[in-house]
Amino acid sequence: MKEENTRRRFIKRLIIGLLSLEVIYIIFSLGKSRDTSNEDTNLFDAGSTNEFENNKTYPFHSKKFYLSRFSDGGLLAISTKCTHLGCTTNYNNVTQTFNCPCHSSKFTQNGEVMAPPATRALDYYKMEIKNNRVLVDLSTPIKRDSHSKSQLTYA
Amino acid sequence: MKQKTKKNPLTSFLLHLHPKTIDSRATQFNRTFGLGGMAALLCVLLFISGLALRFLYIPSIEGIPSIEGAYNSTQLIRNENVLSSFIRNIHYWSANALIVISILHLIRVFYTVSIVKKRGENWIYGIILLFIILASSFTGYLLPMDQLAYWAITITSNLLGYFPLIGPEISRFMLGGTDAIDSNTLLQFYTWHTGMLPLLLIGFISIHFWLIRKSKGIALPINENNHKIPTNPELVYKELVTALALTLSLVLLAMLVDAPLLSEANPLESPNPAKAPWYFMGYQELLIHLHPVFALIILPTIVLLFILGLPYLRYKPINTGQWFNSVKNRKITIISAIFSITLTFSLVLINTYIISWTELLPNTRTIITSGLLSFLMFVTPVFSFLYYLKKQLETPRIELVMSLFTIIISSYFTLTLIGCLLRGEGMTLLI
Repeated sequence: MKEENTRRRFIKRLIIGLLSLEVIYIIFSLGKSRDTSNEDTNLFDAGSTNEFENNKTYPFHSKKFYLSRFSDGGLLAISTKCTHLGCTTNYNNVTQTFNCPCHSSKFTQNGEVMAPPATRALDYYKMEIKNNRVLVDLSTPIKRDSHSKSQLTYA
Repeated sequence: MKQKTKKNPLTSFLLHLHPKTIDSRATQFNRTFGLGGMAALLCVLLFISGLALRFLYIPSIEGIPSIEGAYNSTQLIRNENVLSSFIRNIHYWSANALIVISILHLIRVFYTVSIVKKRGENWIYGIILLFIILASSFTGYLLPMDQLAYWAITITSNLLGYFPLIGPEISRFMLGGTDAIDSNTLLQFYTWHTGMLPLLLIGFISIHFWLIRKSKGIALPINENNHKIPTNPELVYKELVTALALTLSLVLLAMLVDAPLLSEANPLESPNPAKAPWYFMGYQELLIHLHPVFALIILPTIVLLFILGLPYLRYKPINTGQWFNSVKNRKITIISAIFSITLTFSLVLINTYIISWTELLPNTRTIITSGLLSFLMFVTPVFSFLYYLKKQLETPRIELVMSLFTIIISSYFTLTLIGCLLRGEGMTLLI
């Protein structure tokens, strides 16, 4: 009687032990960040630098970004994807804000949150200027909490 | 007198849903309004029309499944001939009716205090059924792959990404193992909608029915001199009339009003305003006011624990089958509803027009401002209200619980109305 009990207990513990090992394995493998970073760059030629006036924002809908040029001539390629839940923001020329049609988040011209529920500034894309051409690297959007001057590119 | 009649096995099987005789009070229509039975009938209608739609819906182009194929197929079902669009309409209107009826059924069961002992178990299965129904509706309106579907998937998968640690993985899983919405996503939802969820629904409905028999029929107040009447025809005829009336109204609705279909999914542009179907509009409105972590994890966890825990809070005195438990509590319920509607409505206005977190606390993290502080702005008045009820009126526990339940339900109802009726372009408030 006693022996049967211990055998039963042993098997029970074995099963529980194995199950928890599997759960730990699954949690660890989920935690591992998958390497999705795309090594190759995907440069998009947005146009010549002198096409863009200061203090204006230009839409590139089909490439899912807006090109903003600020008063000091700095350029920033801002993603159209709302950081809240991924809808496409619309730029309003009058108020100079990005407005989201899904949960009414608002962002300033440089992409910072003006009205929640969005929790961080709009993503931006790396950019380089070669031979006066604005080349935007569309391979990976860069996440940021807020806007800073270092994100701008100057001609 | 023994009568030997040959019975159709199907009829005798169906009659097993009921006992042979039944308390005469149980057949009064306004005791249950027949809501549970209507929900079951709607499930049957959904199964039939859904199976028919499976023959018509072919989400592929030249044999390769694709988002475009799904949209084209839906368009074909809608426009090709009267019968196919009629079947789609029946499916659509039954699904909408099922949500209304299930929620009314839940409210009826709760306010007649039919949630203790064996019925408590059934309450839990009922909540599970409600989630299966909502999941079926969600996966269902994704299949046409119009603008509504595309942006609902986008929003939901992004929302799931807010889960700590495993968020991105859950969101990938939802999309069918990819990072973008593609044919894998479509097949994933198709399999859930036409395979997994109906199977779960059948299983849980069976348990739900069985547990009603186990708890001796529907909840009735205790009464000494009750008299029994034969179920067939007293109850069965009433059920048949209700079923016919409901089916006929759905047929009429399906003939007159077409199920909506927006333009084809366009990943470059969200509709403006982008509104969820009405039953999720309250949640969308909540997302406007509350940080995603609070709206996705903290608040739903609290509400779910409360609703699932309802049968296990020890109540005294309890009058199962009596509306609102006591006559006095009917008043408290109405006051709670008015309180909750006023509170929710004012908080929406305050959060839209008066408080601007980015100006008030510019350098504080959003999880504090639009998360914790907004959450407290709702929770503090609610608990003060309940505390007042408890201290001033010496309300017993069952009635406090009813009050809190009323507050939650009415608040969601208010959010739904605001979201559906008072939001215009850019999701801005119209008042």
